[in-house]
Amino acid sequence: MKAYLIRRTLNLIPTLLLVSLIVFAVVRILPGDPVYTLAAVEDGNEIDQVLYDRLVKEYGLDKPIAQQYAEWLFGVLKGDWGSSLFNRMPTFDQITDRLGFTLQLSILAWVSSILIGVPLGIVAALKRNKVPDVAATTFAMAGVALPNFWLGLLLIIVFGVWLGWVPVGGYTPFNVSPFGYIQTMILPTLTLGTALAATLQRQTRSAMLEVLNEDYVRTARSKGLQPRTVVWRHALKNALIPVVTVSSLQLGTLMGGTVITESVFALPGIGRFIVDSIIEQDYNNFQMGMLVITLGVLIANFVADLIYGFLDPRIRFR
Amino acid sequence: MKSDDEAAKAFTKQIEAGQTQGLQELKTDDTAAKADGKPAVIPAIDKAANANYGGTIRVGYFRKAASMDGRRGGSFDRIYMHPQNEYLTTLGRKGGHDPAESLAYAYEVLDDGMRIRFHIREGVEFQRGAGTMTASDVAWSLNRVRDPDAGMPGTKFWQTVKNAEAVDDTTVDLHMEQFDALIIGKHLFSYQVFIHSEDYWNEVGADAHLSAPGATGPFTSVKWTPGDGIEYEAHADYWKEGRPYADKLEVKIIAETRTRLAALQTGQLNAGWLQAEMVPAAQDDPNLQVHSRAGVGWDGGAWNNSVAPLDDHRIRQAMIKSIDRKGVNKSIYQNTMGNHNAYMYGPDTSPYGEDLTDVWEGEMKYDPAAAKALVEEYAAEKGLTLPLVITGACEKRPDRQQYCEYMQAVWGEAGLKFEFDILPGASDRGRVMDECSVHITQTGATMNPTGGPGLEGELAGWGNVWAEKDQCLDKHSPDYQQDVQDEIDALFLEAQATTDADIQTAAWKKVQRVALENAWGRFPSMHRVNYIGCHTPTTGGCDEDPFWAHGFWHSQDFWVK
Repeated sequence: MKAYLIRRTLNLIPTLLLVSLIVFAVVRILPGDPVYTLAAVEDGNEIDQVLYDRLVKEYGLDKPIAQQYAEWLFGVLKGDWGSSLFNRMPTFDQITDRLGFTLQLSILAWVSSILIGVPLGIVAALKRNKVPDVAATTFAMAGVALPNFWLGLLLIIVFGVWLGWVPVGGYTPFNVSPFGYIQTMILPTLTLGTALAATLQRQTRSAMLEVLNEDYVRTARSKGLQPRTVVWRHALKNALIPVVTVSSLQLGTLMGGTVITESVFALPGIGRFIVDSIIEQDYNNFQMGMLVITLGVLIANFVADLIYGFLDPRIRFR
Repeated sequence: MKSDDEAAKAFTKQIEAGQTQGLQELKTDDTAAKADGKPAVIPAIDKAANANYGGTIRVGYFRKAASMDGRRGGSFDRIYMHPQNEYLTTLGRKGGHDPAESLAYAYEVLDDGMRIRFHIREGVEFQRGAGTMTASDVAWSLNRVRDPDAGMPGTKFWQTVKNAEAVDDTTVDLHMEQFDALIIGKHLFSYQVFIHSEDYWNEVGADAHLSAPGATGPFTSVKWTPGDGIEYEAHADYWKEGRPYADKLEVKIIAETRTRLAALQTGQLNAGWLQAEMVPAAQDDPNLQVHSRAGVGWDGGAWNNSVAPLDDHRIRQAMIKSIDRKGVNKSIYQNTMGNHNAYMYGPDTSPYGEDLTDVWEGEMKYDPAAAKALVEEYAAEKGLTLPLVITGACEKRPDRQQYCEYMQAVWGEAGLKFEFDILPGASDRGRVMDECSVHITQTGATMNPTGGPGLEGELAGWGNVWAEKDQCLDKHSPDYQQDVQDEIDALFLEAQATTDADIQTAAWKKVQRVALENAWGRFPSMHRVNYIGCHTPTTGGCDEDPFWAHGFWHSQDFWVK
């Protein structure tokens, strides 16, 4: 187990290096020049050439691209995350300010998707081809099909504008107002979590149907156990193994999905930070934002593997 | 053309007479009467009688700030800059210099225009405990524009200035390198000349100053989360009596237009910037008051008429005649843009606006069939096969992309194949033009309400800079109409060499006429209109038009009901 953990941890390194190389290259391959913006006079129709040349040198953008990459990478390894090309704020501070929020949103969406998707899947399996099954399946289809941004706007209009139950955007920290926190997080959580809830509903339903037809379940029934006991003690426990795996793997995907949700609800997360950074071509912010998100996804997947192993005794960590 | 010396004398005379090009409130009435050049009366600002004090004003905006002190970003960043930074001479609500709103309540023109003397207010306190503003701070702020270490774009606007000098505690002289009739106009509109505390700058350093400037404005930024918003607190020692009304100001970045509108409709925002697609719904909402300011800029495009086939008047004319400006405004901009019968400044929005209805209804009239005939005539004459390829660069923005797609369609009908790339940001426009790689660059710009500098920048800049660029010369067409550019250049020189408002205005109007008649600088543009929505149940200050002449509002004018 210990060797497995060490090996998996070491495996993260080449992945992160590869990602660092890709994001570093991608942001530079894109058309555009951030220094042009910085040296722009008025609306960007002209630049101040003296300032432009000065900034290019100051930011080291006149150096060979390989040297730029090496210097950035060594800086990161030394703990120097650099600063924004535009506002000169330390990138580390900007990311850590936002990371907590994105983690909260991802985890809340993850938990809510489990709380919604799994029960619906169980109900659908137990009431197969009946009204509850059709309703749950319809929800699942809609949840998978609806784009995040559309669902978010729909929720804003219905619950924010028409009903006035919740704010339409923005964020209130829990320590400022627990009630305000719930109000501001509920719509983004639902927006982000609905697609996963729908997936989990489908996954749970199909796993449950499969397990309910297994011999050991039939045996349990024939022993005269209560239906509830059969479902909870014998069927569900085994049916949940693939569900847990899927949901764990999706945690990383949820972090990626925050990009849209945070933009729609104007939330201060890292997804929006990355979108802004790529639009502006704020090299350092984009590179570090992507690296942190990648690390988050890798860790989430790692944890999913561990959970899977613990749930299924057939899996051995080697 | 007048000599610099003659022009300077004329300028001085005009200043003394209180009349210059559009800067009607150049000084208080009695400046000239005082022997020491200082006015006896310092104008006071208007204060709303029904205003409430306290609370937090929440404003929604569409894009993130680039800096808090004016050294980064574009004209749209005034929303962030104006709450905490101030100019020496401020462009007021009605246009022109407003002494009541300015840190310099008056100025004089000395030495035949080679020295401008500013009289600055006493008792103006900087934010963040940075002390009282002195003439030394003002001189330092003005000199900083030309300091390469300050990282300040815009030195080219300032190239006529030699230096600024503090004469005493309340007087600053601006020494000119050469006579510049437009120098006050540059002060009015360039955010590079915000006044800051020299001591504070030296204490915190240039980088920290970007996010927390030591300025004089009504609000002090206390928290800036790039991409999310800015929180300000009222500047307790602000020099304008009774301002600001609110204790706090929050500018929230809500890029998604529907979300921003929803926040405004529910009162979560007190005021908000409205984009085209939001305007109709906002106008229908009884709780929202929508104000607009027309003619603050333009959306359109610049063409490189030094290369074939744009070197031929017929092709440019055909391209203009193919475009249904009213249709574009209606279908793409949802009637939120103005399509004035002018070239640049609308006659209803600027004293420099020339009514060019005769040209628009004449040789530039929308007529697709005639456009096609012109292209065919050109192709036949040159022995070319249709379609002719026109290359372009368009901006990655829904409305502007649609405009380009529209042009692709209508020019295609005329026999011109428009091939364009999408640029990721506004800054790339300049890069593409520098590379001299396309026929057309879609663009937009702010129209400087003070007239001259803006017009010069747009017309002199776009019309001929391409032709003169080194990298363009090897692509230069022998048929380039140098005579047209010479005529425009001569008119600009005429305007720049005099301070006679009538002569300047006439010259600028003529420039626009020549430009449109020759389809010279750019393809038809829509005049930009800025919109603001106020949630009236929660917000005061919107009863009258809250827009200032630069096309933005100042949050210090709002209060919470």
